[in-house]
Amino acid sequence: MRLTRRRFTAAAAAAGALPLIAPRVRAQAVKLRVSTIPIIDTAGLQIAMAKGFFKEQDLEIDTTPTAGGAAGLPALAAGQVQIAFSNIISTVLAVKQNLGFLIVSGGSGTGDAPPDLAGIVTKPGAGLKTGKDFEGKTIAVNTRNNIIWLYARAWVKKTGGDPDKVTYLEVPFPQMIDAVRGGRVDAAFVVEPFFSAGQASKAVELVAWPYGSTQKRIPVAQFVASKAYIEANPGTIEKFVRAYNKGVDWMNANKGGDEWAGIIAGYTRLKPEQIKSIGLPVFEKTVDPRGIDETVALMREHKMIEGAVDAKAMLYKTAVEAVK
Amino acid sequence: MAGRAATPSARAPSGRQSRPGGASAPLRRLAGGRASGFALIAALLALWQVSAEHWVRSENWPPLTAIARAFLDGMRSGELAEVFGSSLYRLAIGYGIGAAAAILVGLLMATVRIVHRALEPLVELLRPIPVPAIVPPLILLLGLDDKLKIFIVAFSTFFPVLVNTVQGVRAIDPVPLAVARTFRHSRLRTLLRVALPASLPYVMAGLRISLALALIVTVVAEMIAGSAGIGYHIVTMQYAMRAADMYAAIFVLAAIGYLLNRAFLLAERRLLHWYRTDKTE
Repeated sequence: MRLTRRRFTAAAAAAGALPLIAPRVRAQAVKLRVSTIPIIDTAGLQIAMAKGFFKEQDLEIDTTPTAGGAAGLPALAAGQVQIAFSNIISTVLAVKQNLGFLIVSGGSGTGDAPPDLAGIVTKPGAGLKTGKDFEGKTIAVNTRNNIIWLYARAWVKKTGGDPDKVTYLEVPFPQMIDAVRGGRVDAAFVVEPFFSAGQASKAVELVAWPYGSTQKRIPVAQFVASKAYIEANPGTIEKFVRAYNKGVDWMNANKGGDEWAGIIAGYTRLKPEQIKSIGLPVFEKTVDPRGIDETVALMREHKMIEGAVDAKAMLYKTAVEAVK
Repeated sequence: MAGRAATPSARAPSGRQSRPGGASAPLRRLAGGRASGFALIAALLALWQVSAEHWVRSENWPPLTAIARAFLDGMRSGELAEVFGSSLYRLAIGYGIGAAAAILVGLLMATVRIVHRALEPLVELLRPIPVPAIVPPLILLLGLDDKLKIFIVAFSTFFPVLVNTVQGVRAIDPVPLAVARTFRHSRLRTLLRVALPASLPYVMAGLRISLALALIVTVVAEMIAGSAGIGYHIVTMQYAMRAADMYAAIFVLAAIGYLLNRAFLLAERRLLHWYRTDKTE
C-alpha cells in the first residue's frame, strides 16, 4: 500500500512537474499531514488524493493512517498532523477539555432511515428482540464510552430496557462475529464490512439498527483541525476542504463503479467485490449542528459529559457552508 | 525475568571448561531434540489445516493452504519484503542505539559508585513501564514516524542489557581486576580490556533477551501508531477481513524471530568461544 501510494505520488509528481517548468509564478505546494483511518468512511479524502484534487489546490497531502484511529486526536493536539479524521464523540470530548479543535468539514454519517452501516446481531433464533430482552445479557462493542457503546445504550433504552442492566464487553470489530458465534457474547453491535460478511455466512442474524432507530442523520465522523492552525492558515484549510468536497462529489457520482472500488480497495485492502456488497455511510461535506446537538444530548443522558456544548461553536465556516 | 538479571547458562568464566561426553554427543542430542520439535510443529500445522476445513467455521481461521497462497502472493508482489524490510530497519536502529547506550551506562554504573547511586532509582522506576502506556506523551515529543518507533525499540532494548551489564561487571572474578591494578592499567583500559570482555557472557544474555523483546515491541509500536511495517500490515489485513494475509505475515514474523535468535546464538558462540562450548540453548 505504502509502495503503491509512493509510486503513485512519484508518478503524479513527475506528470505534474512538466507543465510547471514554464510558468514559474505558480506557488509551491503546501504540505499537509492528515491522520486517517483506513476504513470506507475516509473514501472522500482518498479519492481526492487519487484523482489529484489536492494537487489542483497546490496541496501535498501526506496521510498517517492508524488502524482504529487512537493516535489521531493526540497527534493533532501535539501538532504532528494538521488535520485528523475523528468521530464525533471523541471530538466532543476533546472540545469539552478545551483542546481548541474545530470541525473543518463533514465526513461520514448515517442516512434518514436504516439500513445503516452497522447493526446489532445475535445468533440465529436467539429470540432477543428489544432492549428489555437484553437486560442481563452481553453486547459486544468496540470501545466503551464511544459512539458504538453510546448508541447501543440509547437503543436499549428506547426499546424498553435499562441500559445499566446490560453488559457491554469490548471486542474488536474483526472478532465480533466469532464472539457471537462462539457464545462469548449474546450480541454484537458490529460495523461494515464484518456486518455484511457475518450475515452472508448465516452465522448471525440482524436484530436492530441502533443508529437509524435512535436518530436520523447522525454525524458519525468529521475532519478536525486546531484553531491555532486554522487561524494561521485559513487559505490552506479552505483549499483542503474544497479538494475534499470535490472528492465527495466524485464519489457520489461514481459510487459502485470499478474505479471507485479500486481506489477504496487500494487503501482499505478490502477485496473489490466485497466493497461493492457492503452498506455505505452517507458522505457529508458539511455538518448540521442539530445533529451534533442530538448526539450531545445522548452523551449527557448516558453520563459521558456534563453541561452544555455549543455545537455551532465547534464548526469552522467551511463545515457550515460547502466550499465551492 | 523482569526482576533480576538473566544469568548466562554456563558457569562464570574460570579458565576451566568442562566438555562432558565430547562434542558429538550433545550435537546428536541437539539434532534429535530439534527433529522432534519440528515434528510437533508439523503435527500442529496439520491439526490447523484439518480444523479449518472441518470443525472451525470462521473467517478468522483460514486453512493453511489459503495462508500459503497469501504468502506466495505477498512474496511475488514484493509487499511482504517491503513490510518486513521497513520493520527490520527500525528494529536494527532502535536495537543498536538501545544496546550501545545500555552497555555504556551499565559499565559506568557498575564501576563508578556515584553514577550507580544517581541512576539506580530512575532505572528501577522506568524499567517496569510498558511502552504502550506512554505512547501519547511520546507522540507529543517524537511525532508519529520512525523517530517514535525507534525510540520505543531502543527504550525496551535498554533495560535488560543494562541490568545484565551491571550484574556482569559485578560478577567478575576479582583476580584479573587485581592483576590489572598491579600492572597499573588506567581505569578506562581496565574497563575496556578486562571488565567488558569478562562480563560479556552476561551482556550477551541481556542482548539476547532484548532482541526478542525488540521484535515484539517493534510490531506493537507499529500497531499503535503505524503507517508501515509488520504491525500495521497485520492490523490492516485483520480489518480488511483478509485473515490469510494476516497469518502469512505472522508466520513470516515467527520465522524471522526464530532466525534472529539462531543468528544471535551463532554470533555469540564465535564471540564467546572461550566461555561456553557445551550448551547452546
